[in-house]
Amino acid sequence: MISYRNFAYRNALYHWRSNVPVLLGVAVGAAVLTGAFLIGDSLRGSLRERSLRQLQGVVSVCLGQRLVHEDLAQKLGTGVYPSLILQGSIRAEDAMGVTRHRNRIAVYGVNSAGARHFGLPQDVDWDSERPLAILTSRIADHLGIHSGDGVTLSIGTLSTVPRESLLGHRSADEATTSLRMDVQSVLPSAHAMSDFSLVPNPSPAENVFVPLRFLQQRLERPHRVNALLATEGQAAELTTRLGQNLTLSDWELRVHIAAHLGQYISVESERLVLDPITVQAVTRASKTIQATVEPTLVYLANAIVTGTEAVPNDKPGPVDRMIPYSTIAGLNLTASPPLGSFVPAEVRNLSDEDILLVDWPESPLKGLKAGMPITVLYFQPEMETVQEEKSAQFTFRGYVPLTGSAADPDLTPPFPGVTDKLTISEWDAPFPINHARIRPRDEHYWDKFRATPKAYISSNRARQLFGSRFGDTTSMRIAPPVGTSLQETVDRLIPELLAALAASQTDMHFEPTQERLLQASQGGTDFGMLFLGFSFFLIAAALLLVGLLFRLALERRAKEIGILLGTGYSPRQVLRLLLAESLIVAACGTGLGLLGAVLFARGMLSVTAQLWPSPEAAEILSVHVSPVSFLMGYGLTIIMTGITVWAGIRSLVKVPVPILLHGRTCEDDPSIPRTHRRWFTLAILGCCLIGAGLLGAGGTVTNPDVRAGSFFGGGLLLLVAGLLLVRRWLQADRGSWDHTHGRMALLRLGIRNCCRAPGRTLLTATLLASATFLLVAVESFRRRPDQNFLDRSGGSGGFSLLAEADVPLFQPFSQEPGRGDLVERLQVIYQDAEAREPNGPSRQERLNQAETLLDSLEVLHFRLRGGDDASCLNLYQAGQPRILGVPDALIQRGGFQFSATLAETPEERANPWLLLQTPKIAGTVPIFVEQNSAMWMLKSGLGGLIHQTDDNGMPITLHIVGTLQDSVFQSELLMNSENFRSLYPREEGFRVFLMQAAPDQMAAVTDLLETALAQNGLTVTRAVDRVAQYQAVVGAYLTTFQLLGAFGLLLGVLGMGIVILRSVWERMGELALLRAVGYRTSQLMMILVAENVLVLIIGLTVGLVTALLSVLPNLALGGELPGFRLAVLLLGVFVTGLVVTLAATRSVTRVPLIPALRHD
Amino acid sequence: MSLIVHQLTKSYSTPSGPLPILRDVELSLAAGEAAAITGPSGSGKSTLLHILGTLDRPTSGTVRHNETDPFVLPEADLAAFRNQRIGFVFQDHHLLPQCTVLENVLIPTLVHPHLRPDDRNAYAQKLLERVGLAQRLNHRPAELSGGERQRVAVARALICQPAVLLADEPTGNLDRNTAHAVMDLILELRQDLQMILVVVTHSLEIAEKFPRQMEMRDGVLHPVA
Repeated sequence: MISYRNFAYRNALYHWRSNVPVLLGVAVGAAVLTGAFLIGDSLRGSLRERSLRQLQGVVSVCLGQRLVHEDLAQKLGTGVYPSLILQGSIRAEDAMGVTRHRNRIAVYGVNSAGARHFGLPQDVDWDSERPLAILTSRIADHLGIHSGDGVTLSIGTLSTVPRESLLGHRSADEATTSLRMDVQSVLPSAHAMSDFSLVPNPSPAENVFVPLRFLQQRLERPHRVNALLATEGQAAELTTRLGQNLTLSDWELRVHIAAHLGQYISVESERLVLDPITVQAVTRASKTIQATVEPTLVYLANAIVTGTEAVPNDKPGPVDRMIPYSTIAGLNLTASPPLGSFVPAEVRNLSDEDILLVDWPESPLKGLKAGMPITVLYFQPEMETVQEEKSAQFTFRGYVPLTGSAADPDLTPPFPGVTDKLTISEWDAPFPINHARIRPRDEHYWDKFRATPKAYISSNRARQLFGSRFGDTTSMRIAPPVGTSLQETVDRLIPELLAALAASQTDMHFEPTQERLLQASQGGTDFGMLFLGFSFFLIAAALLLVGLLFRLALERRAKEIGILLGTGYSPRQVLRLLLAESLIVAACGTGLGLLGAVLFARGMLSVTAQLWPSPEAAEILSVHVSPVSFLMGYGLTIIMTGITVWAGIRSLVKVPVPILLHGRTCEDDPSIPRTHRRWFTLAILGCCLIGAGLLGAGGTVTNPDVRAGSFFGGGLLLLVAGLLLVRRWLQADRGSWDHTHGRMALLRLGIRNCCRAPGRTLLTATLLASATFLLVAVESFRRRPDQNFLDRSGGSGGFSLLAEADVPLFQPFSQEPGRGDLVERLQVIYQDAEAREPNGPSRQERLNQAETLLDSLEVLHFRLRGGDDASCLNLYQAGQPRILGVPDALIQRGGFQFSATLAETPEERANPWLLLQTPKIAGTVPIFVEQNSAMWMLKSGLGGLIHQTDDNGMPITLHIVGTLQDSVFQSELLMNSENFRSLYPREEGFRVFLMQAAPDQMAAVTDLLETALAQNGLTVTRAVDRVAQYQAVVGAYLTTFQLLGAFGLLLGVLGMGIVILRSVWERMGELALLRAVGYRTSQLMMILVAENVLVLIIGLTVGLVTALLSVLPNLALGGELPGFRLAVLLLGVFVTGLVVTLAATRSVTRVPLIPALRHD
Repeated sequence: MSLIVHQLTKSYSTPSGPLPILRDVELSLAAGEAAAITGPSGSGKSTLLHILGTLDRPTSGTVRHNETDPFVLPEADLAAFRNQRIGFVFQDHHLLPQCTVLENVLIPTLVHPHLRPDDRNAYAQKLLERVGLAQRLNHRPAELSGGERQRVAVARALICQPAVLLADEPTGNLDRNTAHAVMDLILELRQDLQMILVVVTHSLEIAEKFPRQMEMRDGVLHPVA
């Protein structure tokens, strides 16, 4: 039986014919809305799947620059596999002698247990030292090689000693090594390990697996690994176990009893310098066992000369008053025995400016009087790009007898190639030695006293002069507590030291890699919200259509509403009833829409993947659904439909009942009251003025996004003004057409008819105009590198090429000695080329050409801390973004385009790079970030703080003091080199290069550098291509936006067709009457077509004109508008609208004359 | 129960100034009384009926239903007032095609706050029996003749036992015999239920069935002698 509750349901069922279009409209809205959520699910789900696949069961990883013993893996329990993970490049020569190479290759040294676990081919002896390689098919395909072929693998060598310290080996040949490998097999692309990677990046992995033992042997680091891959256990628990099992060797430390004196214990580092945290740990451990500890810093002086003259290393200098190449010790000069003292009895009150010289028989500096000036020359302990010699002035205070504490060669830690050589002349030193300075007396001293220091200064002064980011202590000398033997002290010290190190060193830990990747797989950009934004217009169009359809359906039921109101239903009750009916329809439509949502998501993902500038998106993205998205889509669609329907029909119940009972829903006179007209005029004027103001202001703004935003906002206001004008025109008094005849009269009659239902006409025109506006105006957001991109103040900073190396260059190729290295390599390469092509240019000609090219290059070199790509190309969240160390040369030079900065002084405003040199405020490090990366990937902006960790795993806070615009630096954060070196002391060398080359030389420079630096895996990219790739992502989004806008436009056209049909239906009697009085069908169609084409033209014109006005200032500033594409699009819309109009108006010919007349 | 109209005027604003429809209408009816209003098209008959039924508001003057001025009530209360105190029969039956005869009669009761479902069903059936449609309870309006549809409309108007029944050309769409039958039915029901009945009609023949007849001319209500 009927009740108020089921009344709506019965109505919905009964009026199914009019409700089906509403249902379909809701289905479209639900499909798009839910589809947008599903796209978000899909991105997250796809990345999550990819993360799990690429990790192959690895849950946490200990990966660092310290090399630990491979046995640690076993000690940590089952499921932990040791590995050497390196980045490198690979090359192979095909049958034609053409060399193909591939950079950014991940090289994994794997033992048999790891190979078994990860499913690598078992026909390889993974524990052998044979040069066997298993390649992924991507590499093999690119190189055109197969199993059994040979390849050359280039990787960086491993150095314990910091390469940028005095004793570090830096030349290209020392820093890289090429390994000739036999390809044992090629992993098919479907093989699980083809995608193996530990970093969140959608780029396809390109892996080479080699026997661990082979890699260790070739890198001269037997049994050492830099990675422990754990497939079981929690990261925290593994870190604890790791701390318990690390040995001194893993910490790169030596603890030994100083052999020469046999009175103290020395703690030294294989890196030559103890880092500050280790120094603290040794201090704590010593204190615990109540031992006395003295930090010691021994450094090599190029020369110790009398006087104040600083004689450069390449000059012979005053050999008679010079001690060349001797060690100088900075320590507590007054330390108690057995760690001192070094102060002669007659010397008192030593200051940091004083120096004590060792009294050795052949010393050239004998007989000096206290107070005489002494100059110490030395190489800077930390090199930036070239080794610089420095000098320091001291005051001679006395001679230290070469006995007791001072006669101790153990003060200098051993360094292979120097301390183990029999003579100074035999030193295999990475710094230039002027052999002319070395006299027999120096060799005699070396022979007798080895590296025993020849001079002593205070600890403070030594730290100032010889301290570096790597540390300021070369050994910690420990005196045993009273009553304890040296060996007992060693035995007690070591466990305490290991415990202290485990507690303080945070760089040796397991990172929850799986957790991090799964977190990163939430996506850098919330695709769900992004597509929701993109689909906004389409959803709005669908809802407007729903509102229109439901309203039209209800208008046909005006009498029903009238009788309900007439029999005592309150307007609210009627409204509730109608709303309930619409919600029943919406519930069904939304259900249907949820099925469509999956198709929509699939379609949009496919479109996005096609438009995405790199192909990996297509490989990764697939549809994933979550019940939450369905629920949200369902609920939101119902709510929005309810609101739309409510807004559309609430006026219906306010129509006087008598009018409703006559089947009408509005008064006969729809004209705007005179009082309202004034407001209309004011509103139109206001929108025009504010809109024009915004457009004008947009032209003065440099930030293109703000500019585009202001154009868009201004244009939108003009659009509103245009639509208000249309409404005003629709409801204005119409003049008479009685002076016109024939077709013109019919057209005018049609135009007048268009004004009969101004609400419907305006709604249709609004849909069409808004869609047209969006399609055209969005083009102004489409970005290409600006015309001034290559200028110094453009996005490239004036650098046309950008290069990145897999293995750092420690000696940049732009200056000696790096350039010499490069030329040497070129000589070898050109020699081969000459042999291959005897008729081609000679080696010397090629070399000359190369030298000319190198001379013309302006190069800046950047340090790089590897991490996650922070650009919009990375679909993952960039939790640990790449960081660049900006050279001082760039900071002084300036340039590049900024979106916004925190510059305060005129100097900073003129050159914002100076902001990177501002002192740290509250411990924060100033950085620059590209504006899109800051906004979308890091969810931050100017003034924002980003939390990261330093090399020791300690938390640091980065402060965004400037945002770059259209920059080549979208993938990373930028900080000054000094901060970089201090925070990341273990990141050495240069991996990123900016180069200015003439346009006609770019190809030659690229070829030259990629060939010569193939061992370093250098890839050169044109700056304009790099930025274009970033902007292609924005382009992909905009195209998607436009595509969805075009769908919205189609819905608008569909709405127009429905309005026409409804109009014909309503005016059936009128049309029949016109036919009865002699109008031909074609004439009736002309009237109908005229009124509907007018709506189409109004919509398109208002949208087009306001959009063009909004982009006009942008065009004046050099922007482009793809006129042809837009013209085709709009023509397509117009033709579609025309076809819909003709199809709908054709129904007039099928209206039976007599019944229609009777009905009316 | 009484219905008293005093100095009722109604005018509409037009671009050329106010257009008077009703001028100083005076009318007083007691319970059980029935009146027919005739007059030419556009004289204001229907407008008066709409105001009496609270479907429209007067420009000035008062309408009192049993000493109550319904126009002071808020909209929701006014709707409830109309639901419980006034019954309408229109020229067009306005039956809901999606509902059966019985359901159409029950439509007003769905928003009546006091009627129990069993009572209202029983009363609806009784009314339909009374109007001669006991066998057509489950028929749809499309399956009824014009007279039958109008009788359903009468039953629907009476379902909430109104004190006032207003009919606007209730027989305008019916043939002569059917029109008389329907009007006789309405008059009988008025007698049985002691309602005030006001009928607007063009038909003098129908009007003559009423004890009180009035004529509307140029917005002024004149008694017919």
